[in-house]
Amino acid sequence: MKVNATSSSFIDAIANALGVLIIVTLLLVLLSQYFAHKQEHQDKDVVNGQRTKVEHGRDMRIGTLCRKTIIRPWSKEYIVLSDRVVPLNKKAISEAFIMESRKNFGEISEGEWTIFLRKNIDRDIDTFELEFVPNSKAIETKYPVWLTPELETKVDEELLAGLHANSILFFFVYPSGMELFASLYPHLIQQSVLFQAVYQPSSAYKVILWRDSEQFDTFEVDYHC
Amino acid sequence: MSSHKAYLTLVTILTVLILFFIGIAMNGKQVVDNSKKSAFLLSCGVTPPPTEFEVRLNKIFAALEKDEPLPELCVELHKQPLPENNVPYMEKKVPLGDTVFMRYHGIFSGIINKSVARTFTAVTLSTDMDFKLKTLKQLAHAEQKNLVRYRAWLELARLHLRNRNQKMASSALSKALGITLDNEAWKADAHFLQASVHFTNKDINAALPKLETALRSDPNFVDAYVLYIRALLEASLQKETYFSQDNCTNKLTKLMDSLDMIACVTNDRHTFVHLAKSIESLPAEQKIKSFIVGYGNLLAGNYLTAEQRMRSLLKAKTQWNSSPCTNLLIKQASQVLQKISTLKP
Repeated sequence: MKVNATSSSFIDAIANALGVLIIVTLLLVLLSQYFAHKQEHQDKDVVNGQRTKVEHGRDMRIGTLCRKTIIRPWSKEYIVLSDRVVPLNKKAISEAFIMESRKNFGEISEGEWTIFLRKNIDRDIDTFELEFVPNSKAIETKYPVWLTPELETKVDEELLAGLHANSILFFFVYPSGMELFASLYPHLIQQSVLFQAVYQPSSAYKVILWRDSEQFDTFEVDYHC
Repeated sequence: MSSHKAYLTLVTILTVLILFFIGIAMNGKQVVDNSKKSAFLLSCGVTPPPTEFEVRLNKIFAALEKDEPLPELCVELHKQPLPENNVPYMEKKVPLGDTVFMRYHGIFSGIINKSVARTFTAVTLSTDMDFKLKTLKQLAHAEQKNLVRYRAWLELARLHLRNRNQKMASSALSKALGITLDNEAWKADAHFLQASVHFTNKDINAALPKLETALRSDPNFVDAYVLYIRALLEASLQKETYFSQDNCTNKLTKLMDSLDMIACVTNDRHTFVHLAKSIESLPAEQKIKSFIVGYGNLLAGNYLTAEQRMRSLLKAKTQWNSSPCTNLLIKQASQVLQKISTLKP
């Protein structure tokens, strides 16, 4: 009996020691994962010109908020940079694209475009991805600065005029346009116009628009963006 | 031992025989109406067979109590195949896709040349309506494969519909439907757009059969289910026809079936919670709407909201004129509430 009691207390001690060991190991694993994750995100922020980074969120109007930033085919997109609001000239891009029979890239007065088509068309015929890199210098020469006192008339004359029913305004806001967009924001709210915005953290970030099956996999995007 | 076995076999055979004769006797009495039948059964100490709605409720509750209830519920209620677990993402069905070509994988595979794909892409990217219409018309009339011409007419119809030009949209759709395709199921979109034209013209009775055709062609077509639900709810405003008993039961079942199917084909029970927001603001008879929103929330496992909606429906019942349809709604809402109450500790 005595032997048994000693052995059971010994087993208890071993079991407790093992328990502590498991807890410590788990904590170490979790901590290492946390740091690895943090590092990865920091790395991503440093690399310029990758796919528009988007985050979770519910606010409809400002910031990089949607899990998937989906731009409806009838949106009017604008690039906000160097205190200017510049329309993304999709008409010029699509006309240039159709004129070329082979080339998938080119230049318009606001920047450079590239269109990727699928090698094998396995979904709808118009599945594509457009990447656009705005040229700040060209934009600064071609477009005038939007001054604060004239913002209200600018919204009426340039953004709202010609806006189709059921279409929304979509802004890609670069750091050099953030101040202007902050002043523009109350005017847009005042006009009760539907709009979305994404923040492009550096001037090398591309504007990316695409149409693919992945944007049709959930209802939720309609309500989060 | 062997005599015991023989005795058991005899008893089993006798029981089967007795049950068989009872079955024959009951079948012969089918002329007796349902209420008399259930009264007779009750007097014999037998509970009447559950109604279709009770069966449905039992299945939903049984599925909700399990861990991964949706696939089982889909199989139970509608004999839908289980969601494709092992198919790579790019090959999966995407039931929310805006065209049949987006919903399924590989319809265009191997038959499209690059220049056609470039033209379609340019049309999609551009926001210039004249450019879109002109380019698509060229494609629709050109010497192209039938599938390409069909896609072009479909897109033209979508554009006309967006321009509120229902006449042009209708004519584009008749052209699209006139093209022979390898698989007629691909025409689901054309039927759906025809229904949309009728819906825009506020002709609900013409829209409903078109939507049924679209859904028969493609049972994974979520946009068509959503419009079908909207149309069925809006039809509830035509009180004289809607509230006759057969029609009411039929339409309520169709509404519930459509909600089940949306949950099943999107493989997402919570889809309804997003849908409910748009249903709340639709023009429809309030009691039907309350019932459907309650039912959808039940399907999503939101017992509390389901209970609220059914209670609010029952609260308002004193203001209604008695009719077979309202009685049915009251009965079914009470059944839901009763079922929910059995869940509580």
